Amino acid sequence: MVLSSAVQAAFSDCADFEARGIYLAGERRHELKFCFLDGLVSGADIGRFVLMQVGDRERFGAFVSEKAALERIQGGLAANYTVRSRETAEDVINDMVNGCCALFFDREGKALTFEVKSDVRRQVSEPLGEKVVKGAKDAFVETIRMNTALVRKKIRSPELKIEETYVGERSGTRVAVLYIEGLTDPEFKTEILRRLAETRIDGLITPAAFEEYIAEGTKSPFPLYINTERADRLCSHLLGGHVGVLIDGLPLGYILPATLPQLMRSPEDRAEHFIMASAVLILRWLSLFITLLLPAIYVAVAMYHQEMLPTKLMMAIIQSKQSVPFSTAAEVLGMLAAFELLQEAGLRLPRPSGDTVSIIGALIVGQSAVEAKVVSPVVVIVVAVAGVTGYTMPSQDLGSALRLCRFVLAAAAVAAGFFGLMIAGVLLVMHLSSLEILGTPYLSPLPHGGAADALRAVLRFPLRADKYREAFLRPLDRRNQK
Amino acid sequence: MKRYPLAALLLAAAMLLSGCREGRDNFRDIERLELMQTLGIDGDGETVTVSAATGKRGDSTVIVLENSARTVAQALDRMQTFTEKDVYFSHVGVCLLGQEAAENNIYYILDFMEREVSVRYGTKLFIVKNAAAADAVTLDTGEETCVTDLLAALEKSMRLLGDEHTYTLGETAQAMLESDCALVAAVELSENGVAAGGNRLGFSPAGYALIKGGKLAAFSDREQAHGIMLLTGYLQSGTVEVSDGRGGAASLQIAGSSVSFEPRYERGRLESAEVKVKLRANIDELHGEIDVYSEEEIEKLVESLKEIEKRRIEGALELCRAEGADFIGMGKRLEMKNPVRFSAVKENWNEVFSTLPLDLSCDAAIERTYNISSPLENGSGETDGKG
Repeated sequence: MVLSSAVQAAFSDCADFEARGIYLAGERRHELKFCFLDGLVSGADIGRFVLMQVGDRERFGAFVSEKAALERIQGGLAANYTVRSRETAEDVINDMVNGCCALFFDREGKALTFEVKSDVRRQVSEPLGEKVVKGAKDAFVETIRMNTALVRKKIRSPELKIEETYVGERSGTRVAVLYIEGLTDPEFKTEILRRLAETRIDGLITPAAFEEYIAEGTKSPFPLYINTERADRLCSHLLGGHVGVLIDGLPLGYILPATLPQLMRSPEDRAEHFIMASAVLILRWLSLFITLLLPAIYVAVAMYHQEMLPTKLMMAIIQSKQSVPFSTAAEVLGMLAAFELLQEAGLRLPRPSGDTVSIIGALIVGQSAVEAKVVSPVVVIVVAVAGVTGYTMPSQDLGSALRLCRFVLAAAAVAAGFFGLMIAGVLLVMHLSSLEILGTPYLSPLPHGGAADALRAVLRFPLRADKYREAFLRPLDRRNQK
Repeated sequence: MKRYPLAALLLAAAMLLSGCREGRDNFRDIERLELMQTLGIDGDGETVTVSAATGKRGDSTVIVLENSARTVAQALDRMQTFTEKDVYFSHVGVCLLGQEAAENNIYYILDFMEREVSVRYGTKLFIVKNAAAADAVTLDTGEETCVTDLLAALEKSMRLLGDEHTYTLGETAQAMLESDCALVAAVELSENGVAAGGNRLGFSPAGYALIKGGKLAAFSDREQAHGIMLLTGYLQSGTVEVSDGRGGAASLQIAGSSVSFEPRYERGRLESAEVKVKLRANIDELHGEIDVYSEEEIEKLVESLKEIEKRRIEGALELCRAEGADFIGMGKRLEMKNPVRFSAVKENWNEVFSTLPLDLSCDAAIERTYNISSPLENGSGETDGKG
């Protein structure tokens, strides 16, 4: 089957597939097939940079043959900025789905593809999920090439390497792996590229597809990667020795490998004075323990270890619970579930409705529940404090994992007080200690680093004093400044 | 992945080893607790009467429970029959012993308190002078307050006024273990006491109860109690009224004190000991024509202060030595200075203490006179640069 027919057959029943004939150099006897996917290409560019020039007799002068014409077009006769010669239908199809139009020279068994992507795409804007107070506000968009350009604009060095591959048997999604040559441990990118190559799935459309197939996301509810909308965050991690991954169609960049101390850091930490940033970082770690442990500690103390409470606090709690019909366990677990439901409802609804649901849920229902003595105010305070501190986590995935663990720890405390809490806590620490991503322990640098490394995890040193990249990333060049 | 189930299994198995589920169930919902805060124990040698009271918060009613049995433990357990809630003693902050119970034997009470896991070592211990503990626990305090709060207020005021230091159950038990004697703060029910009014009685400080050999040996008066506080190093505040010898008087605020014991050994034998007390005070109030810029007049006040405090200390030492026991913990301090030499007298220290020659010295200083040179009626004050 000739090349153009093979491509046409592949796109049969595709409404956006357009095919037409074009006379090469205006010669009626040399009619060539020309096709493209409507919507992916710019009609104006096709007309200006391909059709007008290929069909212009004067440009060719004395016409010789299709073969000579093909060579002349490839040599620059057509003013389009890219032109590729393809010999298989698969290559042509691949180019077309990526915004190219194809000109078939069936007698020669070849096709030329011209990149004429449509400009209809979302423009770079502020990140929606990561608020920026001080710092770059350009966020990733759904177009991979724009995203790589955003990174390239910040790291203007040929050492920034961008290796691309396609994942998805049917989606053919373009995935770019970014790293800095001479700095990043090459094993990281080799391993990621190997995993990408071995991933045989229909489509890489959703974030979970990458997170679960490539970033080992099924091993744990805790994220083993950092995802970010911010190009500056990706760049600073690339300079730290990480590997970045960009996926066409996702306005996100993935940073691998991620460790728990790194997930606790926000890009804003490097936008503020180091003392302020350190204080906030310490508060954030404190928040992690509060959000994880507060409901469980309350349950354990209120059900088993009442002697631990100061007498006045104990009297206050007893008084507030006098008319509440539910046990402490039912109250806390129920309120935690209600909190999750409210949050879920707020997230899924359109923003104005979501805000309304949050206000109705949190203020009206919460207050009414307390006034009706369905729940005690202390439990509302405990659950609210645990919930609010959970929102201080810079990574939403980490926040979600903590919410899940919060339930488990509270249930363990219900079962056996502090003893149960301790068992669940030990299992959690064991789990976190056993996690690895790309050969990097998840708690690095805490388990095997020295005191200085541990301090780096919970403090933000002045940049002048922070001369070395993280050792656990095995960077080829450890110094980040002279 | 096998290690997680294995770890969970091992930790769950540990629950069987811990003894957590033995005896009383550890689970109890917080709202079902009857939170006892004051405990009173009386006894005549045959029967023990235990009374317990809850605290008061807002409009809540104070619950008082009372029961008699052969032992304290039985009496407490039987209290559960009076209420549907769980009677809970872990928040008992104050324990009162009736005078009769203290005169009989307090060893068994301390023994129970030390063994019972729900009672805290930090519980404050009082002996009720001339009354039963139940009288104190069931005292009519009106609607505004409760016995627990009154005793907390009394304890604070006794500390600030330099009347008595309140010892805890743990401290008392430790002192009994170390030297078979202990000091316990004493209170009495009086018409002038805290929260007294109308026909109601209130609590008043009543010096220290001196416990020796597990029994109440004596009570100190308030002057001796002040001296004991100085000797035990607990006197850090309080007011002393002194005279300038010319009809003027000053009220001095104690700002701190310290005490040291210096042993004198001769040929390895403890011959005597020097008791050095130092006091720091500030002028609190002046009456009469006292010139605070005059070193002579300040010196007169200091001498008067020294005289008063020395008299109190001598009274305290006299009482302790008469009872034949080292209630003030002097032996422990001498031992810390020279354990090897002290070992010769350690066994019969209480007897040695009763007869050991003591050389008492009391030093005092007035540190701040503030910027009013004389009482307000003499004119406006001038700064003396110290205030």
